[in-house]
Amino acid sequence: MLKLLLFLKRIHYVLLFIALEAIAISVFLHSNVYQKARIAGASNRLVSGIYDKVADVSGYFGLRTENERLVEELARLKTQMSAHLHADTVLSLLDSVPTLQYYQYQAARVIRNSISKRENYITIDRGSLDGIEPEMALITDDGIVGYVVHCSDHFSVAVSILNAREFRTSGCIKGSDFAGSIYWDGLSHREVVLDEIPKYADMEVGDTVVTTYYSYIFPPNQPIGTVESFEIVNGTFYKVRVKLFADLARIRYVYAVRYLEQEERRALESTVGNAEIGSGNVPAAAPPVRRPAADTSGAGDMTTETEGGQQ
Amino acid sequence: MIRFLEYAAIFALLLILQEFVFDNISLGGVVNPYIYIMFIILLPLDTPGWLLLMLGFGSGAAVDFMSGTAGLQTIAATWLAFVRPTVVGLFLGKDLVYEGGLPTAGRVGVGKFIRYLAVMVLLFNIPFFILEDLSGSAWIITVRIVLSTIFSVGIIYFLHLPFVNTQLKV
Repeated sequence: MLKLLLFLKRIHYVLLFIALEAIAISVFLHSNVYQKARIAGASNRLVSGIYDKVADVSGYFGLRTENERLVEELARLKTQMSAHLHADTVLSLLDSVPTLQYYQYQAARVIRNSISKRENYITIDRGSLDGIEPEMALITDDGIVGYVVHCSDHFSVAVSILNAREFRTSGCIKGSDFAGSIYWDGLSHREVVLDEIPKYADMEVGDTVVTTYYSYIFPPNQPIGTVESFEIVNGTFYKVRVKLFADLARIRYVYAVRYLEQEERRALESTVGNAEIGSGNVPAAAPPVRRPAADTSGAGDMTTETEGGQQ
Repeated sequence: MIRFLEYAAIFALLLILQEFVFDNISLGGVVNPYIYIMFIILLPLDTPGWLLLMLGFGSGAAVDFMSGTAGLQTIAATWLAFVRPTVVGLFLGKDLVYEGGLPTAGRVGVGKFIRYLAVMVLLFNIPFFILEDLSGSAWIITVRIVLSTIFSVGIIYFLHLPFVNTQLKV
């Protein structure tokens, strides 16, 4: 007995190390995107005050550019509106025509954002009390930047497009019907990858990449970036490097976008027998192991919903 | 007690620096300096083993909590605390361990200190960057490890200068 105790005393250092490391590794292996977002949310409570102040101060230095951006945006919207007014004058006068509103936009300020890690998150200063819910898209005028995964009362944490493990959505070359999956490979914060574009697709360097109609989260035809280079993989599909329009290092304001028919669409699509549809919560996220299997037929977003079950 | 508060204050300062300054650094997407490990590297040489491990675990967990990386920092930081006595023995000599005190450049010599510092930072960065990007290409991970280590060693050396002449004894 004494010998055993002496032995234990001699190796207590190693034992303690193994015990602590086991705790850390189990947390590392078993955490999913929700838990991570919750951790980020919890620490927000601690540091959000500081981040808020920092965002306040740094916001002043960006006011000029922000103003110019807003004026440009206004001009663009006015152009669009005038076009619509002339085209739809007759229709808009009829009360019987239901308003076709699919997406609801809400402005929010980014108070915390990282680009230096492999799994980056964005925190915005609007929470569930402001009507933000998980699975709302975050976009800027320059394109998509992420989607919300966790909300507290006054803050929300979103998976950034620069999250190599969690962020997946579908994208296509503007004007083409071939869709592929968008993900970040963790290299540059100005580039993402558009993978699995069928080899029949025509593309050139400089073409615009936009979101598709397949997503439960992102509105269609939102800009993502431009084709920077592409290569053919296995002779079957293109792997395209996309230069992002949005500079993720410098986003200050975003729109949180609610897809009004998300529930209805998911409920409907879950009735068609695909057991994978509707079982999870985060359509745009797929575990990395499934990357090669993600298809381009539009189910890409839906088949990814087994997240929880797979990890 | 005073000593404890001193260390707690230093650690809090490092945590703030890490979160608000160094986490925002990403040169070309490959340089991510993690400087909070300076706390583990500079603990007094006669710190008992169990305390070293607990502090390594605690500091990693604190940074994990701040940045929402579940477990990743903790794994690497606990590992760093575990290998520290061996690295100290190899690079600074066993005699120093009995004397205690901080392993600073002023105490052990600049050359020796930088070698010790570089090995420690490297031992932290290797498991960290591999685990962070398990599916990444080996070449890129190697570049990240090497460049981040060089950068971190520079910053930590600079940050530790105020402690060079302190005579802290536990």
